[in-house]
Amino acid sequence: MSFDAALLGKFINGEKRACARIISIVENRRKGFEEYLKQLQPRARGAYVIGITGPPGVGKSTLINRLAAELLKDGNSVGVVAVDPSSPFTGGAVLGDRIRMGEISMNSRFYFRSLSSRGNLGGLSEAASDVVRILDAFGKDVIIVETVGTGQNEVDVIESCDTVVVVLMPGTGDDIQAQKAGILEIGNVFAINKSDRDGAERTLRELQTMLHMNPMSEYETRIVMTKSNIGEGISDLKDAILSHRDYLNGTGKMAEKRSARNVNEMTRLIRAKIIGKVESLMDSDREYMKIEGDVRGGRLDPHSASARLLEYIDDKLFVSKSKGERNG
Amino acid sequence: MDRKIKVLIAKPGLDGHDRGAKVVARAFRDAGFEVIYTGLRQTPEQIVNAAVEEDVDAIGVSILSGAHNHCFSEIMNLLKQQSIEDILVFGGGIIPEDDVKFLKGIGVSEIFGPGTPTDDTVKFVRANLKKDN
Repeated sequence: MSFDAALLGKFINGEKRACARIISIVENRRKGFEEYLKQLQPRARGAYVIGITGPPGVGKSTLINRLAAELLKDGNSVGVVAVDPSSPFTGGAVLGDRIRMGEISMNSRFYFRSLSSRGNLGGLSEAASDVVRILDAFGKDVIIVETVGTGQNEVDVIESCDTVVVVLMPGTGDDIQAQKAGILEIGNVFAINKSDRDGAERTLRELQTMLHMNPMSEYETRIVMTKSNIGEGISDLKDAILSHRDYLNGTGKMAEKRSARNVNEMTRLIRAKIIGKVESLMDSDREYMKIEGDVRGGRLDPHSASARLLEYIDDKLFVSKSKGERNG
Repeated sequence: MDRKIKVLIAKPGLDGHDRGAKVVARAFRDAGFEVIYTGLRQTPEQIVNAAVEEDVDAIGVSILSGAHNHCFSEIMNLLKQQSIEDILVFGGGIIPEDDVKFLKGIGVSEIFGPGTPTDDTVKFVRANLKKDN
């Protein structure tokens, strides 16, 4: 089915089911999905987007449940996009972040959507930023994005969110770990969850030391101790997050960040589309098969082969086609 | 991108026995489905709300407490109220023959009793989907 104006109408009317369906269409890249995004663009209200990331099992989902409850209490309409990993073997996934949502799931101002990472390795799924846009157009004031349980290098979240919260827990690594590049560099706010466990003070000190050693940042990153299971520290966490938002707004960085995000997303899409085109050429092209055969048999080195193929691809996909279009 | 089939595995009622639900969830995952697992003690309202928000193709309800007639009736009513006709509903658990007849009468597509190979459940769902997007 291609673009359906009636479905869009229901979305604009605020029907949850229409919103859910449009998310699926966009996530599955169904025919006509771009039209929905195009139509929704003018409806974007600039929702505030919070990214929550951190290693598996630190309590991200429970923390989000508490945080969302606080934000709802303040009168906000809240959306959550939670990404869980897909199996590299079957592509299947068990998405279990919903388990933690409890009673707020029935709040009419709340919308929760699970996404499978569908093979994407950056901690989010390819469609996560699209889903954020859709929820923004649906009227959410705040959108919380939960990444898969991350290790050190899943930093896609920084591109899709205004404020990034890195959740850690005591005993997840010594001070050497804390100096590693990756997720520890992207936090605007840190939460040390399960802070009643042994070693919380030490984790706090290590993190403080690491943050003081980072001269790049002019914003003083806050670290909050939380116990999400009993809801302790959640309002501190909310304050820390919102003060980062105020900082972004006050310095003009919010607008800057969002403009950069739009452009980044466009370049990311172009990159993906070019790769897709090249890959589909490779699937069937005789010249490609020949060169691949030479590489396979060791008659040609990979660098020379790729240089030759690039020239060929350039010629086949871009030069001749653009000439043709100009003439036609 | 491939069409991904989404299934909600739900556990209504007050019993805490979710081993069966988890085994079935795992089987669907291994068959390449995206499974949303809602956890224990969900109300019919929560289950239907989750199915709507996640835009699932099917709802699998695991129930061992004996309250199956009540729970399924509620779920089917809520779906009907919102005129949702394209979600396949199936169930699993210890459910007497007479009740199976009743449940099928109210629109539950199939009940899988103890000992059903998980493959059979997966195949059934794949073959009986109602949504096409």
